[in-house]
Amino acid sequence: MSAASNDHDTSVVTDAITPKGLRISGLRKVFGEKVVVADLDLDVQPGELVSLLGPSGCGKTTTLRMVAGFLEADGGRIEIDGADVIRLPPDRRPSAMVFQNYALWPHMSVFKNVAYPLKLRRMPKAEIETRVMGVLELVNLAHHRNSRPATISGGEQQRAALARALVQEPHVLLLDEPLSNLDAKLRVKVREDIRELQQRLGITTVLVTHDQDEALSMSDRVAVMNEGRIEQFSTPEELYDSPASSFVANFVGQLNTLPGHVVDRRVVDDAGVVTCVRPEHTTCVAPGEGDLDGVVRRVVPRGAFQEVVIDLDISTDAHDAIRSVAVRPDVTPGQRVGIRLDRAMRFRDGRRLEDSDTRAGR
Amino acid sequence: MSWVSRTLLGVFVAGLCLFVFGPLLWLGAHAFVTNWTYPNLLPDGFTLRWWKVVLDDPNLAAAVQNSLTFAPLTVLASAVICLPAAYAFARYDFFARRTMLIGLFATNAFPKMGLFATMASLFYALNLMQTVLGILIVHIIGTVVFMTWIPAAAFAAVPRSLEEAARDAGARPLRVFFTVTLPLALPGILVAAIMSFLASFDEAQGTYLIGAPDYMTMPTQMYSLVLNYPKQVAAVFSLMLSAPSVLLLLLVRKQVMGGHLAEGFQIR
Repeated sequence: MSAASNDHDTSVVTDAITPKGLRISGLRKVFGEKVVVADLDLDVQPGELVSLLGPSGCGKTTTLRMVAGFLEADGGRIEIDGADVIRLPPDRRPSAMVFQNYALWPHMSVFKNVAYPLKLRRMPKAEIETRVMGVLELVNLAHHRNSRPATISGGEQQRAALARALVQEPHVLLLDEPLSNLDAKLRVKVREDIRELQQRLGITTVLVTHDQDEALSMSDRVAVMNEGRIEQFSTPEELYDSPASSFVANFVGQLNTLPGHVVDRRVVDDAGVVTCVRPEHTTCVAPGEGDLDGVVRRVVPRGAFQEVVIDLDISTDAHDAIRSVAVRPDVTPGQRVGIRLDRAMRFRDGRRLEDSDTRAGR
Repeated sequence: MSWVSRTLLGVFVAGLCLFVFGPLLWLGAHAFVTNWTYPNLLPDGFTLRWWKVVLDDPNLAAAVQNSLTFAPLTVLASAVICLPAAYAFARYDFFARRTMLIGLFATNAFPKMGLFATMASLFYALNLMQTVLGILIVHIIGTVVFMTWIPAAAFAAVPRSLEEAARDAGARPLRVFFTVTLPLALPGILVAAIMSFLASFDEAQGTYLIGAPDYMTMPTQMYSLVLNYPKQVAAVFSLMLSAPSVLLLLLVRKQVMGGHLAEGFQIR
């Protein structure tokens, strides 16, 4: 599989030709000399939640802002339900955005914030009342209808912002790091709430995030972005289990990286080749029985599981320690162990090599 | 704190209070006394006569009326001219933006009288001497810095995402300005308007040069008052002149110190 391709998961994609949903093709944005978004293609099916995941500066927010219309694209097409919107100003696009800082208007009550888009549509007062209250019930915020945004909690502000977007009945819902201003516990709950709501309403959604947990737990498909390009676009499971590039493998989940091939308990150098193994596929065994040998440096309790940090016998400068996780490892610091590597993945110059599902060195 | 430093502090505070409030007290007292001169420790008697003198004097009444006309007109015209400029300074990056922003101080950098004298020769040529328009121009020039800088800061303090959210909700730019940007910048604009009102209300030199003797305002009348009337009348007139300042500042104190602006900043 080539990294930049959009191999669709057939369970999600039912009809690739349907003009519904969001289709981005050849999207491009240049700031001065820097290419921020480079010929980006992305298809979001109706009712699907797609995440743009990547480090800061990878172009994910720029892409979202171009879809919303706040940034002018330097090339390409953005089609929402079959209509090209690239020339339309933001107020005429059928998309609604939830901003990272919520962007609630502080001089209006929660009700007025949510009613604002409907007032612009010259809707009768009674209908505005019904719709706004309906959507406020949906996000469980009806009791705060008369509160000013500054007087409600961060989570409530987030829900108010979501309500303001949902009340517009957008063809595409855009979420710009919607959870980054919430504390960790609340974030888990809110992301489940949003996902449930999104699925219930069947609303086509694009989520921008730098948090892999958020992307994996909420999305139908995830597009991992790097330097303005999509490195891989696939389901969360596929992304984690068979990353197409070492960038994706490193960005999504934890990873042990060894410089070269693992052959006969040694790491054999090969230009540009790295062998990568997830910590949960690294098992401590008796010395001499695994793929590599080492000494346990630390056992780090992580609650549900424990993390074992092992110094390898072979010194590999930067990659001197390997991490293994187990529910209940029976090893102690200083103990000599063998390390078995399951499901090793090999990359040459960042690209995935074939035969990668076989055990390393076998 | 030892008793020495405490005493010193007390003396200092008392001195400061005397320095600030002393003249005001003297002024306030003189507006209501028949006569109060050295070496008498107490005034000879109290009276409201001076207030009647002021209120009955047609010249003074006209001055009050002129002042109360010119100041609001100045604020209005200044707002119409300066607020769009303030918005542009806050939101757009254009050629020589910084230079222009600093350049607004130019009129404040020159000695006022020199500036007005130059303007007067220009106004003679344009037939603007002794006209309402001429006086308004002089007053507006004195308010440009307030009406541009303070609202520009207020506009700049409105987060762009709030405007974007309104665009996203379907509002066109003008609607966004009137429903989101302007209400949020209003406290700052209000402060600017009050500063401008007071600047116009207290402007004397330029008004005297351009407007006298046809158009006398309260401050320009002060000049002749001090010379031609008993000092008690001047005291009454000073109190009347300061009343709008005090009232306006008290009125907007809450708006300036807290209110919407602070609320807006709390939202991240």
